Amino acid sequence: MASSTTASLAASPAFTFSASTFQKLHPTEYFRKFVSQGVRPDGRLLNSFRPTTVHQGVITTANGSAMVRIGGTTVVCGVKAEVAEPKLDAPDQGYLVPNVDLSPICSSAFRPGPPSEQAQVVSDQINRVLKESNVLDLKDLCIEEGKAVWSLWVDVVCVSYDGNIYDASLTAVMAALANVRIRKPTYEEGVVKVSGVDNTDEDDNSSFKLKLARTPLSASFVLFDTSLTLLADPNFAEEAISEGQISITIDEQGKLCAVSKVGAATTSLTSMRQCVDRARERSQELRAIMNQHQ
Amino acid sequence: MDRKRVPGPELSVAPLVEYPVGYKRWTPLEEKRHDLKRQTEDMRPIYLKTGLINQANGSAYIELEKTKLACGVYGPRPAKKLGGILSTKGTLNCEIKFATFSCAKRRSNVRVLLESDGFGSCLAAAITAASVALAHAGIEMLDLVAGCSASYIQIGPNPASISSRTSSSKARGSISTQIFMDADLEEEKYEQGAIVLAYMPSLNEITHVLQSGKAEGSTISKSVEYCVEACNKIYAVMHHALLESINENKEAL
Amino acid sequence: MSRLDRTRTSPHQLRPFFSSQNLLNRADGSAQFDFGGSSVICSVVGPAEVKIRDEKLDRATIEIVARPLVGLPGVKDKTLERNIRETLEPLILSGLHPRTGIQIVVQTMKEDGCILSTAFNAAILALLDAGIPLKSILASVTCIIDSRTNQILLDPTIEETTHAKSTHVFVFDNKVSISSINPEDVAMDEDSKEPSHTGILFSDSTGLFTEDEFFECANACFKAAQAVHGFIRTAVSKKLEKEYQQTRA
Repeated sequence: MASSTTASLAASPAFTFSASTFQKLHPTEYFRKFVSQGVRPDGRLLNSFRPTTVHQGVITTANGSAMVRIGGTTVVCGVKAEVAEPKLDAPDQGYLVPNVDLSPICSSAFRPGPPSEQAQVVSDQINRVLKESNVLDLKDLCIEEGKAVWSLWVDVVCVSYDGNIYDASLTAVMAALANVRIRKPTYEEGVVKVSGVDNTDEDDNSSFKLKLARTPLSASFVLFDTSLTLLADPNFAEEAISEGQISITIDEQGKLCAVSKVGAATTSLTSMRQCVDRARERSQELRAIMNQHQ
Repeated sequence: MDRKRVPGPELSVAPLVEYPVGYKRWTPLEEKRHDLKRQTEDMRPIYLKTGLINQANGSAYIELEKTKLACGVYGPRPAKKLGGILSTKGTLNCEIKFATFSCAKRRSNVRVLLESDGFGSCLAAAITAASVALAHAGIEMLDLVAGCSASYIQIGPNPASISSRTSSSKARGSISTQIFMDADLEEEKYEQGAIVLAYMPSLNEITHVLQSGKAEGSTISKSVEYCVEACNKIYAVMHHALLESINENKEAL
Repeated sequence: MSRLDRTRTSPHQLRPFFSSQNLLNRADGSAQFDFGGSSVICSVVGPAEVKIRDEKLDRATIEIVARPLVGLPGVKDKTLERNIRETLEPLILSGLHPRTGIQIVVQTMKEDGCILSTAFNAAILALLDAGIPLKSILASVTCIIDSRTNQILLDPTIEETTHAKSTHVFVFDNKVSISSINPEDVAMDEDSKEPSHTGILFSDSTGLFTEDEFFECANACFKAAQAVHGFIRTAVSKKLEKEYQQTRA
């Protein structure tokens, strides 16, 4: 690429630059050239998602874990079960605490220090999906009513950031929750004990799994340019030039768990419908990927 | 209370782990290691890969069985002026972070360590990974730095208790100190002391030694020797990983 | 069908609106907006100086600060801030004030459901009061789907929200209302029976619901938002009338 550009520079007095310089100077125009041809700079079609992998049980120190990669975005979710006192107004309910960490390791866009606004918003979105779609009955986490309950710390660490953090985090959270195994506890005079014997048997009785009522998975889109073209699964560069984001979260029965649209552009109901249809297909694909690695 | 995270209970603790009577946990009784496949001088197998973080200028991922660590390098970029003084030297800013789920007890929010098995080995792994990530970022260095750890553990008929670091053992006759290379968490519980060593193999220079606990001079010098030897082995792995990344780049072009 | 909120008879009835502009004298613009028992007060300072770190060369920097009714702000308020900023930023003609900052503070005064919608409406009134140039005016309405009757209830109270199976917040701008003076004239798609101009500026839904329910909610809220638009229009024209009289006197 570079050599051909220098050749053309010598040939014509016109001002030309290489494709990568053009992308840096006019990112939107650069994208427009591709989108008008129905493709994206990374070779994807407008409505295609990046290759996705889900691996469960990657962290042995956690009760449940999963690593999800969507293209260049890699997140690891670990679930740790600890014992806590229940709230006074809900003596038989445990805690489910999801948090997303976007540390400076995953992109230079993030600074060290307390969680950025984006991290807080993604954490809150996942928290709301888990709570309001009743994914887990918190009563299942009760050890001794009014005395001790399990507190599930669901921590998502982003290792590599390349856009669409919400889809990746939610998939990782759901895969990790499905992977959780907690040793059956005994409660005695204010002390909760579990057995330390390693038992890796699949169907042993010494530990229990979580009963997940549903598995919400999401698909995100961005609106591009004044034509409001929908681009599925935006990467970092596409997020930066988007006119608005749409995220659709769907469970396995096809019920919607969350819909969100933010950003500058007004969306017609027709394109919302398009997103819901595409999200339906995508969540089925994701579910297949999740189950094949189980 | 942390207001920038989804709030959980104020206080939560890991449940007490109870072992049934007669359950045998690993103790340094004989010259056998916690991981039975390893001899005392063996390291854990290393998996090292570069370029997993595509936003970073350079990155490395290292796996020593259960210890998993990712490292990203960003820069070089213009430094903030410190008090208006212009420096002719660059600064290396280093941040190390444990994922909350990386240890037996959840770490409250203190480069990302994904899972840790043993403290010494995770520092050694961090040094190795950081050095590879710097090289991957194309930052000029004198040499690659390999990190390696070793623990001194007393073995004998009367194994030292977990808190042996502080208690003095007088029955020296029956107890011998053995150097365990690249000890894991279970072994570290019995250690008398440990050493972490960073070494530049092609210059044959040691850049960093961290020795803790107590040991005889001869044990320490012996373990330095062992670590240097191990670092040479690690160097081969680092070399291989970097060559691989170059080859991948060539293919991509 | 009766509602838990006894003051209302129909599921699509909104609570009485109330608004008051220019009530804080140290801010450049301020407004209060009430949906029945929910009240949000909002102040606008700017265009003013901005920290060099946040300065943007081609437009104004817009900062939103959301304060909850009690306690300190948490992640929920951060999400509220993000939602309001992402929605208002494109509405403000910020290119007219490059290298300045506009700070919008949103303070909840009374809470009885629909805080996000109330905050949106208060913020746009405050921006109008501050005289910040805007592309269009927004109006926001919240609805829930009742878990027992499966009915769409507009503008729910906190009590009604506890029985909701899903909550939906929508924001619409007034481009449609201007293009067709009479809202009845909005063109209807033949097959979908939806006003084809319905453009969603912001939407946030959680809970469990079907696709059809979502679009029903969108349509119900769109119709209700026209009433809010009308109200904002009257509020602004009344305020201007009053100011005009004062300057003449």
